[in-house]
Amino acid sequence: MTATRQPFTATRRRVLGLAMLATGVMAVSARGATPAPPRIVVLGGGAGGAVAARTAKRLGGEAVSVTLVEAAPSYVTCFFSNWVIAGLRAMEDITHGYAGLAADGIAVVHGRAEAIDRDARAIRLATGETIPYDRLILAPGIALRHEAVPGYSEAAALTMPHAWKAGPQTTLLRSRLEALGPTASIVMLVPPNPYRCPPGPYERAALMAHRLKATGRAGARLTILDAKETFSKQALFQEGWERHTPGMVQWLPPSVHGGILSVDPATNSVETGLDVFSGDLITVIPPQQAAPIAVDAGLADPDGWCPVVPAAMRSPMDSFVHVIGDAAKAGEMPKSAFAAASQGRVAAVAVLADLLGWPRPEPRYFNTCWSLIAPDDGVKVGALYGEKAGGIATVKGFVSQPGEPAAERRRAVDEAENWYAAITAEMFG
Amino acid sequence: MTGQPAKRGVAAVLGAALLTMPAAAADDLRIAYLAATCAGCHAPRADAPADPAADSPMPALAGRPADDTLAALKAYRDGQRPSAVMAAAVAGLDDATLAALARHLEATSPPNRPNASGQPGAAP
Repeated sequence: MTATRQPFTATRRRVLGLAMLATGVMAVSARGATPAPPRIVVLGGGAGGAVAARTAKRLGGEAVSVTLVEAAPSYVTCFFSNWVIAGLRAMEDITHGYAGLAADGIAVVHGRAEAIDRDARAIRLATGETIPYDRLILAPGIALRHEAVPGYSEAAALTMPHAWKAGPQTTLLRSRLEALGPTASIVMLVPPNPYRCPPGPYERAALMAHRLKATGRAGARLTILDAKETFSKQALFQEGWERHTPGMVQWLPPSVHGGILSVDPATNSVETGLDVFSGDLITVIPPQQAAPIAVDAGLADPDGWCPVVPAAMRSPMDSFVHVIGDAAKAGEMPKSAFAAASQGRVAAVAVLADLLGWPRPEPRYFNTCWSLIAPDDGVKVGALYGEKAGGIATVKGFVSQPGEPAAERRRAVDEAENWYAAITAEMFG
Repeated sequence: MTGQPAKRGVAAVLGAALLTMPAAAADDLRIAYLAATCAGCHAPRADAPADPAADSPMPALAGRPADDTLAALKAYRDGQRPSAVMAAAVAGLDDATLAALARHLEATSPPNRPNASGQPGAAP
């Protein structure tokens, strides 16, 4: 192979040379010293935050300083945690460290962020330390609103696991599933929209049923009490549950169960408008909102989610802050890791363009959500999104169809595995 | 209260510098951004086989001959090669953009493997 073209880095060096020269002129006249590069701070090291930080550093190079603030020393991906619950992956397979980001030249600060001081443009950590920014990319994820389900609480989650933030809750739900008997009953509560990973509960039901059947417990029953009348990829899941685990999964919308009224961890039961459901295992996925740090900073709407300007994922409340990932209201994009990473790239490029005076490329938002219906039966839904009428809307979408050949479904599983490798490589190096 | 970023001295000076910025360089950020979007599915893999199409529904793209990549991207866009995902991924991109993207990917080396110019490279 002959080299006839220079990679981006070669040309970028030329651009950065100009940018650095320009900032140098300014700073020397102001302080008579070598200029410090503009500071990009990313808060939150999930799919959105990690991809934003790495994109900003890879494309911005020495012209910017990039700091990632993340409380946890390692990250357990919520995506693929259903595979762990069903015994298809181990916890260590979905646990990743941040060493690759530090190796890129990103300052990784493992501390708990307590507040955003928007006037001072700084993050305040629980230790009292402050981290100033010229631009903040906020990727704080979700908060679980336990209290929105009467009777549910953080303490109750030890009895009725949610497993909607990956980690000990994932391990707990897996061990509870393993301990069930051959005719056990499971009840799963699913929240109203919007919430993290729209097809996630239904994939989880499919994989839990698969695990039960594969371990001689086909007499077990899983009842989904949904807060919604319809759900993501509904026809595909309902067809798949019946094909792979006939009679094991039952889905009930509010028009059938009468609405979820409360849960009782003491009796392992759920009261609805029309009935009381009890089970050997009750799993409650509670309603959600943006993480408190975003809400407390005044970056959320009254509905608890953060609005954004579509062209750059920038907050309409603060031009120095971009909000990405599950915390953001990104129009028609679902709350998924794929979407968060896509938004992270858009925010990183927008911030670089803003700070360095580069032209800002038009964003190309993209998402694909793969779901397993069985270990060899995968389906997907996704789209290219663009700015439309002030929001983020579908440009061109796609979705799997009922009755597809087995080879195509097997291929979707391969795609999901490839995607996991790709996104974790993009996040962690 | 924080508002619009002030147009400070730095912005003015940068603006002056940009007047002399080559048009190709401005386009490079756009192409580098597009290449980064590919990485959302196409993992850079040091162990990628010589024939990327052989092993995976999402082959590694870094270092792949630009002509091959360009032909594939056009075929996806124009519906000659069926893939609902790729048709959406390249929707609305013109020939010149796809060609620049294919060249960018070719010039990017897989991790731990020398690129076309013999230098270790970074992910696309």
